[in-house]
Amino acid sequence: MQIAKATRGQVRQHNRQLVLRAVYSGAAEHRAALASETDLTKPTIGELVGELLEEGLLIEEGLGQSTDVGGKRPRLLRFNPEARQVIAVSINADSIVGILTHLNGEVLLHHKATLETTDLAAVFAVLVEVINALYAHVSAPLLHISVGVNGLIDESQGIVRYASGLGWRDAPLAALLRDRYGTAVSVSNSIELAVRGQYAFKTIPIDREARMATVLAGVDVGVGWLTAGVPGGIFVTGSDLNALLPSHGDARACAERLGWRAVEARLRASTIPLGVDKFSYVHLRYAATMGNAEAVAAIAALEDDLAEVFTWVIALLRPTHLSLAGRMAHLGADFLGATLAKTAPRLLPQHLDGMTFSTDTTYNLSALGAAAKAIQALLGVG
Amino acid sequence: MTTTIGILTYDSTGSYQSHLLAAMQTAAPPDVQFIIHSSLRDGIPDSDVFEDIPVHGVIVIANAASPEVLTALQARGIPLSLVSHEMRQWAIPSLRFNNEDGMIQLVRHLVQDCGRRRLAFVRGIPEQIDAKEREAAFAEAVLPYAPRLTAPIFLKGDFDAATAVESITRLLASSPEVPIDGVIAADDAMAAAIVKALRVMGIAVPQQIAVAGFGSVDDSDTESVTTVRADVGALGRRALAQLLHQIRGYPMRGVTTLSVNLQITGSTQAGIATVGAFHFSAKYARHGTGGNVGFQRADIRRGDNVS
Repeated sequence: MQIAKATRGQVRQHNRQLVLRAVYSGAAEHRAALASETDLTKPTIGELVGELLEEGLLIEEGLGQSTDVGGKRPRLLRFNPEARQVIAVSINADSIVGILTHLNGEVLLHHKATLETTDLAAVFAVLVEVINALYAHVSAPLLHISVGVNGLIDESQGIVRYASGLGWRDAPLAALLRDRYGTAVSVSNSIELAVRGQYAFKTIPIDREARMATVLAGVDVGVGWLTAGVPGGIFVTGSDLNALLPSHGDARACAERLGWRAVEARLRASTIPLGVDKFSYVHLRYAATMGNAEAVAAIAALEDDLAEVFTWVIALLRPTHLSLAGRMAHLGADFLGATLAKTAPRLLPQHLDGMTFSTDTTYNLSALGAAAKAIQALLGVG
Repeated sequence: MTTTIGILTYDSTGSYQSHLLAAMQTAAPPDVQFIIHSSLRDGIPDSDVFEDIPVHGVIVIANAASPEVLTALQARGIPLSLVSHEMRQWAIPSLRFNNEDGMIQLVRHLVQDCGRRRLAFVRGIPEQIDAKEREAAFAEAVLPYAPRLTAPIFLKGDFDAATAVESITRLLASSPEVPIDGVIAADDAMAAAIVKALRVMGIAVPQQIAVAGFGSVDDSDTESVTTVRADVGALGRRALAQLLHQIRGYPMRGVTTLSVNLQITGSTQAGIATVGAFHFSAKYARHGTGGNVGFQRADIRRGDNVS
């Protein structure tokens, strides 16, 4: 195997990212501290900081304390999260959702358009219109457009190799968007992005050492995995889960058991008094809380099916933390607890030892994760 | 070349509308001019509105134009943007506030922070989309707390201070005891009027009844009301930006939602002047200044965990 020497450009980029990360994380707030923190020479630090100040990614703000040996008070450096903006988009089965964020992930705007079809050309047209709607509000240089799709993604080329829910094969999404917008574009698996979003923005209590599995139960059902802050290579979608879940005589696919569309159809056909035309798991939970027997039974059936998914996830992935995210998380902590109670008998006691659990109702984790990915790429992280 | 923007609004002198229009006019580039059609002044617009004066785009505020008028404008190839309005089936882009998230924040504040259990909601104009959304969002936001709460009461308000006060007065007169301990009004003006009226009646606000509104505009009367602050100026500026982008040839569809932020005052918590609660969207994660997007200090050492 031949190992190539790093180019000057690569070294410079690496060093830039070292400096940015140090200031971003608060590890160093002036030039001398940066030199100490990064082991880069002072002239290199001076040059890089100058470049980053010029680009607006860093700003000078006030004076710090002199060192113990006295001397000039250093000029403090601060990362400027408003220097760039990110458009992050998630293509779901029934909608495209996008957000416009600053570099600290602060969501400035949220935009959503419904999808009537999964035809690639039609979905691409809606995707462009969503990006256009966000682009209209960009007020700083656009750093990146980050797209999440539920499927197998060739990230190096930004090609959606296979997305079963959309019926796509070999869709060159990144190239199409790059041609149109002339900016960096990345395409990733939306479940990977969801767990990245959870970790990056701490939507659940999770630490760096955690091995986290997330069951994302929305329109479709998927499992994401993250360890040491980096999404792993297992992004199981509902169609994959079909092959793994025991049927017990129930031939329905995972999405038919746990996907929102199927659940919604069952609820609509039921006599559960949901009270509104456009209902959600919140309404189902309320009906059960008020003692409606059919609602209680509907939730119990969801617990049974989800327990099968949890069993598989815990036994094979051995996470230290399991999170239930997406729409189903609105059924709440009691639902999670009841599901775990049904899961435990299927596992060995040591499977659950030391595990922690959470529900995460954060809206559109995939879009948040897409923003995190773009920001992390700027900083050269994970 | 001058870009002419047509604006359809019901009442250009209304507080909400005038703030929107002022923000658009301030933000507009020098080559942009506006033609405002106000239904109250100029009559309900029909399908040939703006036919005599060619416009490059039209902003429609709330329900100021019927579906037929919107269809006619679209048929003429005129880009449209809707503000506080929505016509999803026609793929016309629209902008509004995140009513759902705002209501979640307000209900959580009243129930969890202020310990209220008997809530009333004062409605806006039933046909108006913000009013409908805020009411639906309130009804959904209280559900998770349902076992702790008495069934909420819904009162007529119509975005009119006098109507809101009349509704509250009638409710309080209907029972020897004060039947509620918290009120959320669909806008700040109604909430502010309710606070004044309650105090005149000798009811302690917030001690006996906490009152919150939903922010539309900054106004000396409404400054003292707990609210979710909705930046109407930003809404106006963004509506203009969205339409100009369409005029430049960038088609778009869907709904753009602007975040709202809880602002707590003495109308819900005694002894507080005004506190910006600095929540990001309750539905989105928030994290501290400077952020720490997914890595910790150990990661910044040279060579560690670098992609």
